[in-house]
Amino acid sequence: MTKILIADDDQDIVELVNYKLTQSGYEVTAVADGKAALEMAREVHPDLMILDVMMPFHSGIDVTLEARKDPELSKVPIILLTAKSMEQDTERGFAAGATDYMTKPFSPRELLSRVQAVLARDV
Amino acid sequence: MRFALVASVLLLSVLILLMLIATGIIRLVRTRSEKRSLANRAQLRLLFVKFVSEDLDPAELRQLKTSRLTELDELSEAMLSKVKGRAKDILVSFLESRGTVEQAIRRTTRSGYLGRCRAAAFLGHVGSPQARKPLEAMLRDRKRDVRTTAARSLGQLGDTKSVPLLLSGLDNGRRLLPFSTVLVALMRIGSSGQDLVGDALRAAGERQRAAAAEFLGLMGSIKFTATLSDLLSNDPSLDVRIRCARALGRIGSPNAIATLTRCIERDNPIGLRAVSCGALAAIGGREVAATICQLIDEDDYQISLAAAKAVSQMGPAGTEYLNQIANSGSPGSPYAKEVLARRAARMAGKVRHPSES
Repeated sequence: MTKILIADDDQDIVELVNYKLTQSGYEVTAVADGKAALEMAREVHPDLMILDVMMPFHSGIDVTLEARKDPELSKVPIILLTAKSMEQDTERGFAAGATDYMTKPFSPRELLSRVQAVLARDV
Repeated sequence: MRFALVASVLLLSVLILLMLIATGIIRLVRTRSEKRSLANRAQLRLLFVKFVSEDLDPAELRQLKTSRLTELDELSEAMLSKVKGRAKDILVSFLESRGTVEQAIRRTTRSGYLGRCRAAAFLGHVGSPQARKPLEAMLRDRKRDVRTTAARSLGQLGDTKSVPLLLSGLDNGRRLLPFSTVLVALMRIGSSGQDLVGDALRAAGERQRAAAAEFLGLMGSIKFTATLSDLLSNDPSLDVRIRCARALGRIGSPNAIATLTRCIERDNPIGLRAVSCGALAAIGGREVAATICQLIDEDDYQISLAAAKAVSQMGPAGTEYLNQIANSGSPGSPYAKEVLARRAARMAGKVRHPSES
């Protein structure tokens, strides 16, 4: 089963994304901050990570940078899901090594499509 | 005497024991009630997530108790600003069916200003057309926070009919609207409002003209090039003139070159000259390049630096020219070096662009 790690400090979003992905057949693990995201990623070795950018302890950008340095996580696709929608924010996300970038407010359906597309590309 | 003492101690002990038992029972009941409430809340949240994900028949929701439906209203309100698309449509139609929009409209005139703010924000998120008039009335609210939230919400509604009121709120005596809030609201309304905003270029209020110029520049409204050029030359306000210069640079029409070139002449204020310099660079062209390059050797450092920055934006030819000046030892040489060094540092990731901080 494809494993997905979600990191977001907003419980509403985590629950919604978790439900949507679980219903689509993915195994989802959710955490609420950047530090826990890195620890959990090293433990569960997800096939994809969905990270919020503004989180406690480590931002989504920091987690992406750390993941890219880690040989075990360097190839894991990362989707950044964030309220930061300026052009330079997107550039920073991609420069850090993100695979895709989605801005909040977001469409759960669109997120699912992007997850499927990213995973299909990765296979 | 001794008997009385023993009896008092016994009585006290019994009382303490009874109190302890009572406290234990209360704590037990409270813990159970909290657990039940948490379990109910979790169950409701799951139901809510299913509902937003279109995995639940809305008829099932109608069977819920009133208190749970009220909790569902709160969950929906909290989620409203976080999702878009179909999920948002579901939430909006649920909240409308529950009468929350009418309730929020009623709250817009209540005495507590935080309640009014919350109502205004909610109406903006829902985006219901019937919210326009109450929100427009809130633009004259005595509390600045309420006026600001209402302006933001009108931007979310996106109705061009609100444009004149948003703009007039900028010069509304003591009940002003913040400039940036109005500008963002106008940007959200978008290009469909540009004719109405264009009318404000002739408004009596200085802040209205300034906001109109800024908006038209950001929208790249080329049809207002002539009006903006006219204001750039003749407006009594320096702020408006500077914003017109910046707007003309963003629009990028060559028709503005003559007016902007006049604005970089020495008899103009330094701020206007510096911004006009950047605007000319944004329009580009060989003729413009020659004019700007001459300014790098000016004796005023603000103009020299602005000109060097402008030249650096003009592609490989601009970079080559800056390198020549940097090595020439002319008065503008330090500014050319500074701009080249800053750009090299930014490209190497050592210095953040001001917009990133």
